[in-house]
This record gives sequence, C-alpha cells and structure tokens, in this order.
Amino acid sequence: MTKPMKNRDDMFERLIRAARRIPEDPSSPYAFEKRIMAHIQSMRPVDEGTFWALGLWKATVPCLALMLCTTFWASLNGNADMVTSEELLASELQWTMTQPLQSLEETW
Amino acid sequence: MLLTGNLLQTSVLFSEMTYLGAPLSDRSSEQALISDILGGNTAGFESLIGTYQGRVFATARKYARKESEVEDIVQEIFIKAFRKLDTYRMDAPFEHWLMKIAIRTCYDYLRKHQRSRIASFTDIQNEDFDLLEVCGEDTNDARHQREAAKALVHNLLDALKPAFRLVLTLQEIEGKSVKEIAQLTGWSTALVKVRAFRARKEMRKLLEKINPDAY
Repeated sequence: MTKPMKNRDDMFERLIRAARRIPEDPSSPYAFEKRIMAHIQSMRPVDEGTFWALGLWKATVPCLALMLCTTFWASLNGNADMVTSEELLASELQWTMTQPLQSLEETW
Repeated sequence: MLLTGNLLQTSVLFSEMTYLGAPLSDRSSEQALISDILGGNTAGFESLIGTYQGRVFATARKYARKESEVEDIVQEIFIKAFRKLDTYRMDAPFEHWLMKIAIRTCYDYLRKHQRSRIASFTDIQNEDFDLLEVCGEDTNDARHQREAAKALVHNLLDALKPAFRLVLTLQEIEGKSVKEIAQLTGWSTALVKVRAFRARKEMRKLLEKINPDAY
C-alpha cells in the first residue's frame, strides 16, 4: 500500500533534483538591448505640435467626407426651404414698408 | 580587544553596504542613472538593459521553451520596466524591482499560453524518467541526453496550472522562501502556501499517470 506513494514521492524528488541541476542560461542575442531601445524610441510621446498636426491630418478625410455629405443633403432638401425663406423675407419686408402707411390711414 | 571591535565594525559596515545585493557605490550610481533616465535621458536605459538582460533571460527560459517566445517575454519585461520606471522608489535594489516585473510577466505568459498539456504528459514513459539522472551532467557524451532531460523537465512542469508551475519553480527549484515568493508575485503568504501545497499534490498526482502499471 505504501509502495505507490513512495514511488510517486521518489519521482517527484527526482524531477525537482533534475530541474535544479539544469544550469541557468543567461545568454542573450547579439545587440538585444539595441532592439529594445529602438522599440522604446518608437513609442516615445511626441510633442504637442506634432500631436495636433497628426490628429488634424488624420481628421482631414472624415471632415471632407462629412462636408460633401452635408452639401449633397442640403442641395436635395434645401431648395424648397430657400423659396419659403425668400417669400417670408419678401413678405416681412413688405409688411415693414407698408406698416407706417397703414398706421397713417388709421389716423385719418 | 580594540582590534576585534574594529574588525566587527568593519564587517558590520561591509554587510550594510552589501546586504541589498550590490555594493553601495554601485547602487548609488545606478540610482543616479535612473534619475537621469527619468529626467529625459532615455538612452541611459540601454545600460540598465545591458546589466540585467542575462538575469532576465535566464528567468524567462524557465517558463518558455522557444527562443522566440523567450525574446518576446524579455522585451515585454524591459518595456514594462521603462514605462513604470517612475514607480521605482529606489529604497530597494533595482534588480529586485525588475525581477518582480519579470516574474509577473512570465506568469502572464503562462496564463496566456495555457495549452492542453496533459496529452503530451501521458506520452511520457517510465523509462524516460531515467533521463532525469543525466540532467546537469557536464560531459560531451551526455549532451543530447541532457537536452532531452531538460525537455522532459519542461514537459512535466508544463502539465501544471500556471500558478502551480510558478510557485513550484520558485520554491522547489529556486529555493525561495514563502515571503520572497509573496513579494515577487504579489500574492499573500497564505495564498503562496496553499498554492505550493496544491502544486506538489498536483505534480505527484500527474506523476502517477506516467506508469500506472508500476503500482
């Protein structure tokens, strides 16, 4: 009954002993530190001017697309509204011009 | 009597200078270098990488087998160290702080790359276990056997859950204390003890699968 336990413990001890005997390997690839430094340099934060310039440059295409869409939408739906607003303006102008005359008529 | 007193004072001073792992002058120059890096001279970080990369590579090789994976881990460790350098308080050696990052990054790697390792584990035969005896022998004849033994140790450890593998490596193989493991991993000492106990139990249970006929 104790044999399996002993065998198992023995295997465990052999494994640990073997793992301890594996020598550490501190070797590193040639110029590895240069590689990491290049990576670090590439992720360094940019100055404020460059940050804004990059952001604005990236925003150019979406802004142009938005502008074109808005223009197209306005040209489709805007004509009727423009006529209405012109008429409204004309009527308001007419009312403004004739208002003094009407008040004169009421006085007489 | 006076001579003994002087010797005692000298030894106390020497132990104070070296108790944290590196001579005081080295540590202070290293701290000056770190302050310089934090001040904007990032090129100085290359010197720190040069000093500690061997230690970090050796640690990463305990958890990853492929050299490309080891390089990725080491790169991640140093990039994390650079990003978090402002959190280093300089009251302990830089190496201790760096090794905490290294161990935690290796643990993350183990968790991310957790594969179905039991299948490869059951392929191991009882005879293969004899290979473990040549592990670490320094003769040319045993060179290929040594590599096979190393692969076998990795295979056996790979079968464990990441937390169990980490704690078993640190405690049984590297001989670190529970307190040291707790500091390195960020776990509580109670959790380290529980995980170490379960890791040993799990490993013994897995070893039974190698050759059940033997029992």
